[in-house]
Amino acid sequence: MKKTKKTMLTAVTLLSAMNLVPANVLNAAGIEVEEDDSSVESEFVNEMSGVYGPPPIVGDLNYDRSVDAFDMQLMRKAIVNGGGKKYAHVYDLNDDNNTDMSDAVILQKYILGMINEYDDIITTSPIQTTVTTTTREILTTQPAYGPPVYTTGTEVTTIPAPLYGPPEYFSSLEAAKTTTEVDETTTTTTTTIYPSYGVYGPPPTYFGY
Amino acid sequence: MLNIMGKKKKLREVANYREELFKNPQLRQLFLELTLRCNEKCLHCGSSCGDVKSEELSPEQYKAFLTQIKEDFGTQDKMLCITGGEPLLRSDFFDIMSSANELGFNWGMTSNATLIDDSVAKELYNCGMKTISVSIDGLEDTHDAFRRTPGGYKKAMNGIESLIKLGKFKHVQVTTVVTHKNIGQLDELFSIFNEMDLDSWRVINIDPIGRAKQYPDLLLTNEDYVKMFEFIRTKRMMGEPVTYGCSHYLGMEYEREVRDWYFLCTAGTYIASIMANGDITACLDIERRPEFIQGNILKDRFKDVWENKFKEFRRDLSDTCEKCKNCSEANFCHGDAFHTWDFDANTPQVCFKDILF
Repeated sequence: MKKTKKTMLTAVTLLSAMNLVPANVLNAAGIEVEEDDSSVESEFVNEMSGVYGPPPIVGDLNYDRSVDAFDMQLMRKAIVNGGGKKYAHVYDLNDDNNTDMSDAVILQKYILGMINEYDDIITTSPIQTTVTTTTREILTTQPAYGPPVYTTGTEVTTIPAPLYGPPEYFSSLEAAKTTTEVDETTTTTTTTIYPSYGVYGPPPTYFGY
Repeated sequence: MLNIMGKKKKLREVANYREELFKNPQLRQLFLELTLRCNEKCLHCGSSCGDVKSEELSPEQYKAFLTQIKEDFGTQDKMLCITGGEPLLRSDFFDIMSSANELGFNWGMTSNATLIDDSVAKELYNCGMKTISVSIDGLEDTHDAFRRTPGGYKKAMNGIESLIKLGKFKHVQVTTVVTHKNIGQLDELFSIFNEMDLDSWRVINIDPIGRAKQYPDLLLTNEDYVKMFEFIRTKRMMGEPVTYGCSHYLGMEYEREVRDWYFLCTAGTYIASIMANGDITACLDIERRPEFIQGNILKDRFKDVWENKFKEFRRDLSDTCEKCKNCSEANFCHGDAFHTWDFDANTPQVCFKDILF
């Protein structure tokens, strides 16, 4: 059966929520992800969810029931491909019968939690948290189960989870990834965590965000 | 398990959205039951199809109806879901679907695939089919016994191979109805499907509807349900395109984890169906009672029916059920799927409370 980025993202989120295996372990384990064209995938997801799934959510361009960076990716592609009226039935968030950068800006604000509704700008400030880590290298070969193994260093010391945010495990992976270049150096990283994420929180960076 | 707070937030959004849909329904999926005739006689068939006489509309009547739909609703974001019986039993099948294609409709089909070979697959593509879901209900002996069709499994698998080989469809899916008799075969079935270039495998449980009511020993036990959902979730954790169907509220443990969306029965708000004789209803799996027939496309303009009738389907089933009223999950479940509601006892026939949550 075909594995796609979408099915792999599902795997990663489920596994991470259970604190089992991070994504890089799946890759290291040789699970192949089929190279797919997201726009094509989006079309068939649209159609299959049409048959078997629930209604779309505004801004949920790939119909995965959450508005996130993957929708932003589709929006960018639509604009790069000329935008205009061709995509307007789904992508036109400001109802100007066109798909352009203004729609992308609205979607971006929504994903970042800066607006609750597409026409409603709220004043909630992002939560600032300070994360202190000791840098280390990540082994290229990771265990099949459990957290990643590091060559040196200690664990992340403080990672407050946002209200609807991701499991702490995601954050610790992110923190770890930012400090792989220099060994045995203690650094302080300020991480901005925005409120109002969905079930899965912000998308993991290893998918390009 | 994923973040419960996040799940509850999303389910509350879905509940609000559902209320909006009751006020402003949006037609998205139009099911066309082309015939009740079928070359198989499945024990679980929701429509009791098989070797039966079936009233059927002509290609001209379908063309006139679809032209009307295009005028009133447009074709964008509309999906025709072709079903039966076995749709390919109709000798004029390709005439009907070519008309739909020429009018600009996207369409997909559910089929037992026993009548599909390389040339039929090509014809299906040429007249615009985008997606197809084929039923495989167990290993060879089980499938053939369950569908009471010797040789059915081999024909269906050959049909699927023809569809895959053509490589032109956007989604080729296998659907398996899980029963108490075949639940032990899921792992073997996975091994078989995993070798094929399928886009997805939909795993659903048998529901006590249609002909399945006559075979209670096929229904899943509480342990079976848990086993099935654990199977689906485990496969999804490995990145496999395995999914549960649209039916039933699954509680915090499994909602969103065994499928890519949250439970929402959209019968009558997104879904309408045209029965083989032209009668209009919401979902073809819903018990076929006279009060659920909203009109007939040979007499009524569908748009008028869609906008002014369908009230029966645009309500919260749990409002009138004592059991549901006292349930903490009623705001997310709303009485579960319309097609498994017992309209005599006014209670859900399938409820996963105390089984999954």
